[in-house]
Amino acid sequence: MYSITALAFSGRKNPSWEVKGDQVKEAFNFFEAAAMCADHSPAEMLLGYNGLQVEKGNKLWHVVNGRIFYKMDDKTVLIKIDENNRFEKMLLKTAPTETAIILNSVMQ
Amino acid sequence: MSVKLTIDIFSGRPNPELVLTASEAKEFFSNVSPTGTMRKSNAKTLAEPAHLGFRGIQVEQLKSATKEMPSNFYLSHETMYADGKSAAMDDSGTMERLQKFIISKAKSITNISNVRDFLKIYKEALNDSFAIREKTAVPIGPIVVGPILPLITCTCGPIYEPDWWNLNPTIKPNNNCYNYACNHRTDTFAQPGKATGNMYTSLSGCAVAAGQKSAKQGAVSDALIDTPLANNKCPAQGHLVALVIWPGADFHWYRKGVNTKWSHKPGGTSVTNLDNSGAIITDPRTANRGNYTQFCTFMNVLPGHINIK
Repeated sequence: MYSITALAFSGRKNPSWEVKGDQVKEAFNFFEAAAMCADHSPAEMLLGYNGLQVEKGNKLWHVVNGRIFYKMDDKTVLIKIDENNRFEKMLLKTAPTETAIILNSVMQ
Repeated sequence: MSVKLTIDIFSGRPNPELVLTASEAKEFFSNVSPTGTMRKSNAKTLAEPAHLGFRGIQVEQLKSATKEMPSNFYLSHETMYADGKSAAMDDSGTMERLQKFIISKAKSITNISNVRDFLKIYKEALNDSFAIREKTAVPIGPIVVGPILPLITCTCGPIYEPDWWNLNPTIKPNNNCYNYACNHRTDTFAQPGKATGNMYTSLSGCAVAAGQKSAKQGAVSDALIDTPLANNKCPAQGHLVALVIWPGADFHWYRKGVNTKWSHKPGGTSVTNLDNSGAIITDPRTANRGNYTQFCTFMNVLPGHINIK
C-alpha cells in the first residue's frame, strides 16, 4: 500500500488516502522514465497547496511545481522533471471524490 | 547600601538579577561616572535600546540610596538613563569594566539555570550587542505630549524563534498555525473550539450559516478574545493574532511578535516570517496569503488563559 497526502492545508489536517500498487503503477512507470532535473533548489513551501506526497516505508516522493523529489529516510536522493505535471495528475486521479473536488479547485 | 542589578537580556524569560552587598555596590559605582550632570533627553538623544539580546543594565538602589546617583537608572552603551534624562559616561570603557564586574559575580546571579550556560549566552549576547546597537539605535526624536517611547515593540508579544518549532521532528509536524499563533505546543494539530467542545463546523467563510460554528467562534470558545478593531496594534496584555479563511477549505493564523513583525506556521511545515511573495509580514491584512483570501479578525491571546487542543 502507498499513502498519498495532499500538502494543502494549514489549520486542518492534510487530506490523505491509501492506494494499492497497481493504482499507481502507471505513475511510477512515468517516474522511472522521467528525466533528471538540473534544478536542485529545495521545494518552496508556501501557504496553500504544496503538491502531493507519496509514502511507502522509508521512501517518499514529493511532486510539486513540475518536479518530483525522491527521498529515502528523509534525504533527497534525486529530483526528476514532472513533464506536463503528468505524475501529479495521475496521483490526483486516485484521490477519493470529495478530496478530488477540493484539490481540483485548489489546482485551478 | 545594597543594589540590585538586572541584566536586560531576555525577552520571554525573567531577566537575570544580581544583588550587591554594600562593598560590592561601592566597587560597582566606582566604575560608573557620568559626564557632568544628567540632562533632559532631547530629540538627538539616542533612545534606550529595545532590540532582542543584551540591551543594558538596570540599576536599583534598594537601601540607603546614595544621592550621588539616581535611585533607579539604566546603563547602556556608555549612556546612563534616568527619569527622562541621560548622560554619557566619562570614558568609553565603562560598560566593558561593568561587564567584567558582573561576570566576576556570576555565581550570585539569580533567574538563571546554571552559571556556565548563562555566561556563554551572556558573552555571545555582549559581542552581538554592539553591532545590533549600531544598526538599531535611533534618536528619541521630537518630544511630543505623552511618554517618550523608545523603539516600538510589542512588549508582551512572543519572541520569533522558528528553530524551536522547526527543528524538533515531533513539534514541527504535529503543531499547526493555531498552535503557533497561540504560542502553545499541544502536538495535536490544534483545532479552534475542540478543547472546549465547540469546534468549528463550517469553514465557508469568516461568517457561517445559522446553526453552524465558525473558526472564530471556536477560538472564542477557547478563550481567545475577539478584537476586530485592533487595527494591527499590540494589546496591553498578551499578544495579537489574526485569523484568515480559505473559503470552504481551511483556516490559517498569524501571530504578532515582540519585534512587531508577524510570523506563521503553515500547517506541519516550518515557521516563517515571510508571506507567499517572500515579503516580511507587517500586516496580515495586506500580506500575500494565497488561497486564504478572507481576513476575518484580529484576536488577543492571553497566555495561561487559553485552552486549545
